[in-house]
Amino acid sequence: MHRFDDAFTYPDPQTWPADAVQNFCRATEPRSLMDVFAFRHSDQSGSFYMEDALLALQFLPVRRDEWCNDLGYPSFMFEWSKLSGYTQKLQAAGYRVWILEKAAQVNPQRSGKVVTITSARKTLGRRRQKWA
Amino acid sequence: MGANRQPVSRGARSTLLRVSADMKLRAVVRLLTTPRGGKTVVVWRLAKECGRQSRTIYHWLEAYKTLGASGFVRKRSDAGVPHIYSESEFEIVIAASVRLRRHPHIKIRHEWKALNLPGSYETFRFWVRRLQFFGYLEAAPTAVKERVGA
Repeated sequence: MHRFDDAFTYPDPQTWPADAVQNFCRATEPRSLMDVFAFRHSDQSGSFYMEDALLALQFLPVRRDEWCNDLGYPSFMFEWSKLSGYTQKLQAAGYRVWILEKAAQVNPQRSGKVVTITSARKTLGRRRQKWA
Repeated sequence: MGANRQPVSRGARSTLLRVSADMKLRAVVRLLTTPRGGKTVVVWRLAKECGRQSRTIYHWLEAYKTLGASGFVRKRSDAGVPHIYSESEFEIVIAASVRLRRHPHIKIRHEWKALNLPGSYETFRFWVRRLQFFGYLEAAPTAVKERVGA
């Protein structure tokens, strides 16, 4: 486990689940080092995962209860209303923030279907919007 | 014979981009999470993106493995210590900063002229202000631990 400070730890990146890393890559590529991806779960909540979560730890005011390693990789879950503030801070550091949404929210005809975040990432890998 | 060769201007600036510690961490994490067989390509891409050579990415990886995320933060060992003053001269500056704080009517420029220290007036003023504002402890961590004023 690596530490930024005592409150926040994260598993060694080499031990992050391969399928989760693969899903993340599939959803976010093509990406550069300066691209950060916010996953939108609902109108109330969103997340940064993996390397983006680590970046958030360096630039954003992350609370202990917003930080999670339960999935085997770091994730930072936050209130969606805070994203605009977070975006400003990350943009000030030179990063571009992209939003990945669930398929059901983008395509209303699928609204009745339950879409998992994982499948949404696969479906919406290329469909991303630059946060304005 | 070599007619097309252009002389390298002595003042040519480096085209290297500044790569911050957070970018290095992202690059290393991306490399660590890449499965075997694909690392070479990823290193090549990261190097291209950062404007560095591939071996630099491996250096970052080694730094991360050795020191963790803090391995990317380069801190000068002489941070907070003036280069222009020797230890004894810095003691004089400290004394001057205390004196100037106790007697605000004394002009810094007059004090600087009277002390005949190396360096410019601006340097002297910078250190006096810094010592007065932050105190001796923060300004010169390697020196005697005593706070200016109180």
